[in-house]
Amino acid sequence: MPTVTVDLQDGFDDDVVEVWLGGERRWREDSVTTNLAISLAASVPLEAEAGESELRVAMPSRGVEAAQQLAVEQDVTVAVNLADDGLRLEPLGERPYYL
Amino acid sequence: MSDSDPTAIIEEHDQHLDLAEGTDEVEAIVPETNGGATATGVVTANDEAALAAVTAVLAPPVEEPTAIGDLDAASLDGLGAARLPTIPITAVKRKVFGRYRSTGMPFQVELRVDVDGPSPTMRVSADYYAIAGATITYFGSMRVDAPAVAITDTQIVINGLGRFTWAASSPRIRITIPRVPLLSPPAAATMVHLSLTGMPSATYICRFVSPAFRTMIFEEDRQDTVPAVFTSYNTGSLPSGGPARPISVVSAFAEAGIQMLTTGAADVVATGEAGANASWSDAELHAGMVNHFSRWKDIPQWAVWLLHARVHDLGTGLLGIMFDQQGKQRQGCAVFYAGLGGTTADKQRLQLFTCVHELGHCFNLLHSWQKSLAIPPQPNRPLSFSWMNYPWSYPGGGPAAFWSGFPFRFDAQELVHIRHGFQSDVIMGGNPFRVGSALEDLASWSDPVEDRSGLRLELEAPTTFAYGEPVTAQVRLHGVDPRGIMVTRHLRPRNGQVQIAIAGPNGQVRLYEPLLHHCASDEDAIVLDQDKPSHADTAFIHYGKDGFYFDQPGTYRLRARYTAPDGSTIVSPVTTVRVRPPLTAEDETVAELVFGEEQGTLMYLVGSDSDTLRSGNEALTRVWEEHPEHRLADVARVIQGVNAAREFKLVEADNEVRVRKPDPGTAADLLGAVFDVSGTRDVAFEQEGDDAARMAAAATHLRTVVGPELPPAIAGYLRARRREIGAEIATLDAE
Repeated sequence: MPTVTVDLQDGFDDDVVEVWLGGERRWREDSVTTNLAISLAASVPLEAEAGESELRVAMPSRGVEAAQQLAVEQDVTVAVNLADDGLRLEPLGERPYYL
Repeated sequence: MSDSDPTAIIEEHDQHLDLAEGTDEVEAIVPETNGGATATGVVTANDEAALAAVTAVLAPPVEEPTAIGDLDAASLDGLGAARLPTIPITAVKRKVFGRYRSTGMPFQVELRVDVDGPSPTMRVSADYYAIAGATITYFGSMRVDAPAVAITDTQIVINGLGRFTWAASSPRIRITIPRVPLLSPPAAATMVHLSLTGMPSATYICRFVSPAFRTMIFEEDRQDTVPAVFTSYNTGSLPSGGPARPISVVSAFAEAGIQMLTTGAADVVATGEAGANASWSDAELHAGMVNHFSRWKDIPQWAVWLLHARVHDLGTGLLGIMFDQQGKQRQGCAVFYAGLGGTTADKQRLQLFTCVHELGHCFNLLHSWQKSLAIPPQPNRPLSFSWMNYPWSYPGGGPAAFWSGFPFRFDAQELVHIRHGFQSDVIMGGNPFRVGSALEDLASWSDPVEDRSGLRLELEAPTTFAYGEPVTAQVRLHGVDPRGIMVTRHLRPRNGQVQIAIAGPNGQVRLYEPLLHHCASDEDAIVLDQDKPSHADTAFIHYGKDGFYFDQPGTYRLRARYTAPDGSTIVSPVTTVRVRPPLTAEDETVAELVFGEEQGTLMYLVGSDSDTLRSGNEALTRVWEEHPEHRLADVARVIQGVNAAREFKLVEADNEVRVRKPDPGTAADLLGAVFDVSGTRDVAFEQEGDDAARMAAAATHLRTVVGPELPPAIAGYLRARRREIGAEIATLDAE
């Protein structure tokens, strides 16, 4: 079964974050903060059914959310960043590195 | 010099440095491109207005450093340029750059001159140290961002307006450094501070120390499952943006002007220290650093640790991390070979990049695209060709574009930070990552960078106090010099040699100020030696000049500072105490009775008949009458019992003196409910000598006899006020 890895990267500061996949809430954390030393707040691996699925990331504490339609055939990583213009979800071609 | 401002001067300056005089014409160079010198015209030393205008120029954008070294004659020939005349080697002058250091008292300066060397940032900066007895303590830093640099055949003169970490009274800087022949030793730098109107002030003669702007200790250890660690990579192996050359971690920082001295003592760290999962958490890495970093101390210091490890809990995607974000931060980092390992050129390049990148975080550098998150913020530089960027996220074309343009350097602004940043912003263990401030960072409460005082100070206190309980702390002074060292017997704030700083739950820091100061005599000196290695005293810090210091529930942090007879200042580690909130309705009622200014004064004085404290006395009486079983009732009993035992003289309005005789019955009833009064009284009565000797015996007995049978807060109050209590008990008649 492929894995969708959701990397919460920059912009998180003691935030409540929810990750929904295929209409089901799969992860929630109350205090998500970006570690500025590696630009990563959390890396959330989710087993997923192959096929089309909607990934949605919501931040109830800030009233923002964003969604991305995914074609899950093999392992995929989605980078999530919170910028001035809101949440951005970006599927990546390969696993990112952090340092 | 003023003892609170290294730039100030209290005696008249011998040398007359009047900018309105002087006849030298110098070529003033306004800082523009690095390595370039564009004369803007000739400015005479008489032209003070022009000089002032030059020095007021804002810092120009610092250009990326040009190629290393100067063009040689062969290169010029190849370009078709005319051959330069041969210059006798004796006429070639030594470049003027690097680190200089002054000596003397009460301040010393470490000066960094960066205007004439390779890849200059056109800055000068300095760190100031206060010399007190046998201790050297960091005082503050300075930087000139837009110096006017005038070069003649004989000297370099640098003028500028400094930025200081304190309110300097003489913020203008003038540095003069003679230019000497290449084979001569470097000349000393003379730094003069001037007021804004040009009045000369403090002057420092600084000897040349090193061509490096900063020097630090660098220690590397490896995990047992990492057999081979990175050593060196030749940047010409793959396309890059700079000259091809072999680079190690040490040489990368050398190019940045930082000398890294390796300790050479490499530990092999067992995988077991990474826990059962054999991967490292940040906490395990920090523990590993404490265990294996031979130079680790919980103080700011120019020393850093790098662990070559296998893998982090976050998996193989994490190539490295500056894990040290607790306590004194940024002292250690790690790189992980599960993702980095390999001998191919791209792997070697990535190992070098990761090592230098993580060490850059230890210098308090943020990622290139996150400079705006610094405190204070700076503009982001996502397109920067820097160690602090991510090649794979490079917005200017991804990793291929990054690597082909990357010269294996820090960018210009990062160089300024590394070389010339204010010390606390850069030094490992200084300001937290991103910058911050805390009790530990109060400039005057810094750990000394050098301590030859032979003393060590500790501050101990119960970890928790109930709301309203008097807060006391034990100050213990240790002698660490086997030859013995003379110190003062009195270690409480009211005697003057000890100060205690209190950081409250709201972060506000206050210095405890006693209501009254007690003078000490030379007879109060003792010697700490092998027979008596330490001496302790208990300080009452609950109430003083600023009122109650612990009137809010929450966590408080305390730190003590002792001034030795030779002037050395010794600082204790930080101690944490917690004041619990009221737990019951009775707690709240009693708290309302004890938290009053009069009650606080009575607690400080251990009782009084003063009419101005009448309502305070009435409130304390209500505490032990209406709430006899409450723990604060004992505090009220001690206060009023001691007062009942004393003969109290009141001067009436008509200047008549009214004497209230001791009431031993009331005293015995109140004090006897709290501790063994008769035992202390008997010790005093058995003491030979006069009343003073008996009082001293009673006080000594109180310090030793009050123990676990009493709540720690009550025992602490009795110890802190044993002299006042012992004085009354010693003369208390038995009924």
